[in-house]
Amino acid sequence: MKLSPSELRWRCTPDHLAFDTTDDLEDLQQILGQPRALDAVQFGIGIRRDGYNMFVLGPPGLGKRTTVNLFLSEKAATEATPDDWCYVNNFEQAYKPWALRLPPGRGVRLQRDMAQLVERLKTTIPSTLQMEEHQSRIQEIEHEAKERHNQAFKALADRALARGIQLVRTPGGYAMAPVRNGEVIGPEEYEKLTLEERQEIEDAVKELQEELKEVIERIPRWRMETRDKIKELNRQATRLAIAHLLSELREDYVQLPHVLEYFDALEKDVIEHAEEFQPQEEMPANILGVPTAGQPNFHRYRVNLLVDHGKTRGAPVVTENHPSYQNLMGRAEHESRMGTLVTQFTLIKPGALHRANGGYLVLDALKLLQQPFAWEALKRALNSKELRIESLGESLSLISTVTLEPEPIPLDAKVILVGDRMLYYMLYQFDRDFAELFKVAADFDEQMDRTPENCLLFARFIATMARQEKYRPFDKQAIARVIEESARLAGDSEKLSVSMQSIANLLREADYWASTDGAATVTAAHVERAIDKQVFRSDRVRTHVYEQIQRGTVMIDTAGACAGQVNGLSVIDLGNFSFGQPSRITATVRIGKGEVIDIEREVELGGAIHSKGVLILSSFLATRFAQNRPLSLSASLVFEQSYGHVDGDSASVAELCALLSALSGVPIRQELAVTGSVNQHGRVQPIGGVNQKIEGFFDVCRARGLTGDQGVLIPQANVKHLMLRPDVVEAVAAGRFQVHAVETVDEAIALLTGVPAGAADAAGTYPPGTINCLVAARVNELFEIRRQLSQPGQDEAKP
Amino acid sequence: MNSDDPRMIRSILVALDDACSDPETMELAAQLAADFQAEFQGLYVEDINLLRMADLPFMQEITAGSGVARPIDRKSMERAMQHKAEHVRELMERTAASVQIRCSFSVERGRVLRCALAATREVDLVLFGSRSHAPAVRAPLGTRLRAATRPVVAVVEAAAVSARTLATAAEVGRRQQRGLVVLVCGGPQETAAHLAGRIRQELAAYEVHVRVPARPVGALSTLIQSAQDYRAAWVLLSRQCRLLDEGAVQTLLENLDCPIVLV
Repeated sequence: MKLSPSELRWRCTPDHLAFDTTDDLEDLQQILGQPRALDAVQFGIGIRRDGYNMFVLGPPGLGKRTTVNLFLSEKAATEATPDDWCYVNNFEQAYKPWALRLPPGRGVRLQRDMAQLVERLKTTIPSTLQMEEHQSRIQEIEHEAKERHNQAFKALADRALARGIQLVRTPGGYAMAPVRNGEVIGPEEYEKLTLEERQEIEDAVKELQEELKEVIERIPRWRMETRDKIKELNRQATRLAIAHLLSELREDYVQLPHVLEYFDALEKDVIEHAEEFQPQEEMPANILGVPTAGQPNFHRYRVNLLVDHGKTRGAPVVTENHPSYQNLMGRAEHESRMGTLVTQFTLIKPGALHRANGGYLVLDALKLLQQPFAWEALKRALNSKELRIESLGESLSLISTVTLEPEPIPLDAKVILVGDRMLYYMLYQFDRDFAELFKVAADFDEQMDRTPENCLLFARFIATMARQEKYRPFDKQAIARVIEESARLAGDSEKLSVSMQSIANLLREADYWASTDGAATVTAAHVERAIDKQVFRSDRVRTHVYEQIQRGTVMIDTAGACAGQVNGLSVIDLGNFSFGQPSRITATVRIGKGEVIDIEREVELGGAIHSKGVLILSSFLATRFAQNRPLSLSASLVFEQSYGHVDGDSASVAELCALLSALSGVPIRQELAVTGSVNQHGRVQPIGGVNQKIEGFFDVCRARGLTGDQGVLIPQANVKHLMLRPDVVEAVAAGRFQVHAVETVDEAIALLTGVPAGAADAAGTYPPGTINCLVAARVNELFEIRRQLSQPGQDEAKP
Repeated sequence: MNSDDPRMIRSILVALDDACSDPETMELAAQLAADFQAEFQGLYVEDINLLRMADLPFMQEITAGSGVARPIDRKSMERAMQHKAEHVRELMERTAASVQIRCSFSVERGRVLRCALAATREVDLVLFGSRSHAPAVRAPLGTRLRAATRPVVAVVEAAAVSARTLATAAEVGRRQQRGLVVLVCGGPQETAAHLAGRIRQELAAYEVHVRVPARPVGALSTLIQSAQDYRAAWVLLSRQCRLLDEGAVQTLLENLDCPIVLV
């Protein structure tokens, strides 16, 4: 059936649009054409149950993120602001910092209060410890200690002296020396003593030395006791001094028992380390920026405010654009000290999950999966409902250094993944946790029905965007052209594309071209120019391919007739641009065993679907022409001058027509091209990219000169998808090009050859001179030849 | 203070031996030497008693740090003394350098006090470090004791109040932010009040808190008791003090837990 120009493109009639420009239209408050997805998003955001996280799926450019953010911001604003989270020192196990939960805004206060407390302690404790009474008490203790030492030595010295021995100091310690008249006995004098006297002296020295040893051995214990006494005295004084400071704080935080527990531990630690608050003068606080060992470390009294919701209103909505493991889960950073990596609780940094806790976290699914360990960590957190900061390097044994085990924080966040469908289905299929954790799928559609109501909504969408982005107003002709382009993008005259990205780009560029013209309003011409320029910027490859055809390098006939040769059509997709490319398909036939050889497949350049299409041809031929006997032919099909991968079954009608032509010997008109797939009964089925395919052949023909005989055969089922370029429609209207819709392969071969296909009568006989009759005869002939050849004694005659 | 001023100090000697080489005494001596622009001398005395003792066949030394006994002989004793002398010389040079003065150091062999007292005839000030057996008790880290709680005790002869002794004691007190207690040695009770007034007047120029007890010190034991009662951080004695002789210095050093300065 030859199609009329009106069937080749749907026209959006501006007269049906009841406004002049977008200024006359109200803003569109709703999301366009996504009722299913919106319902899912509302449900997914609304339900607060375990596992009801959401995966928003659909191709890019549909406004998934915009939609999600819109709903999230509305919902989050009505929800309670979550609590602040802090990490503070664990005074008993410093590598396991405590997590403190505080009402929103209290984290900052606690941080400030603690900083003030430390500053006050720095003055209060030293002044307490320097008080006259306290100093006096310490000196008493020291004096007692000295007295005890001296008494011990004096008593020993006295005992020794009573036995004629003197306790003397030596360069290295002490010695017990025999004395006479205050002078140490010399060796000569000693020799003069009797044996008994000498023995007596030596025994006395020996005994006294043992006593001396005992005294010396007691010294460390005495020293420790003295230190302990002083320390205890300091503790008592400090406890008293800081009691009032902490009591003020305790009153402020009386509602927060965990904070009070922290204060208790802090108080204990301050008392234990009261001396550190004394001014240190003996050594610099740091050398080359590195804190000196033994210097007070007041960092341990700091508050690491991990999450501050002081200025947050409602639940947080966090979007993490780089969802690495650390950005997601948080990390404990390290700093280098004298070549060693060290960390402490103040170096704990929050992840996106911390910030989103109590609210929502939006992540790009692909980016998340591309980050090592991030997906597993996210699942672990969602499953355990707690945020545990772990060093990745440590857990993988990549580094060996000091690390932390911060107390886990309870997690209550809804995670929203945004990604394409394939990712969703793969996760669903291969990740056993996914279905449990992401129970809600919001599936965004690429198109919506082209109804008058939807066209008006589309116009309002354009108006909304024009105002938001401060574009010039679009007149109704321009809007009509944009809506038509939307149908073209949908690849369906009865649908509109809701690819917001593409539409937004078109509006933006049309506005630009209007600005270059100095126009106050964007017109259809500007939209048209925007479309043309988009194509022009992208069609380098197409131009090159068509040039090769035009120059005869790629051989495509657009005139004449040839048996076993037909123009097929394929689509080359470059991502942002696709175009149709005519290809010559040829078929050859010879005697054989019924196989149709797909040369593309034989050389592994054909895909599975293409092979399937070719196998269907075999089945069609056998069913129609050799139901009761073997199909005794061998046929070969090939895409001529194809050097790349071929897939899809949209050339199967063309291939079948080429085969029928080859078998019948009836030439095919080369001014026609054909596209469509075929089933085993010879019915033509729809294919994709019909517009690009028609336009591709049209462009080739136009370059050689349109004759009026040239045209394209398409499946009848694809007529509704036609949104051809205006120039193609104009050519058809002028009778310079044709588009035919066919439902069966018989219609196609009849059009391509100009010879009727012929319908079988009750006996299964085709009318003479028809294509089917000629094919049946040839098949029969091949069968007979084969049968004769297979007779005994004919083997030698085989070629 | 001009060069004729009786308070002027031209030379300071630190007496050092195996029992005494504490850095605190050294530091004070160096600071005073710097303040008075005085000569700073160190005298290390190798105690002949120790050498004699080392000749005895059965002698052992008990090390102060560990209480371990080890045999000693003259050779090892001399080596230890030389080592000690070298150590205190280095300490003295470091201390002198810290206050940017020069120092001289000598080693003598003999009786420690005798050598040191002999040297007092040639110097204005002799410092003996504390000989307390008690090792310095190191207070817990960060505990800082206020210096002012232990005073400097100066002992002057009632008959001839030494202006130099008072000036030096006041200087030590000012420098270390300590109070000053002046004990008057000898003299009748009734003149004590008069003397106290004179002493306060003498010390009025110094920024130190001065106390002059009314009761004079009559005996060495009283002096020791008073110094102990005041918990003296330093005891400065005028050489004119009637109580002073070699045995008295020995007794003071053995009984007082602080350095002694002879002026």
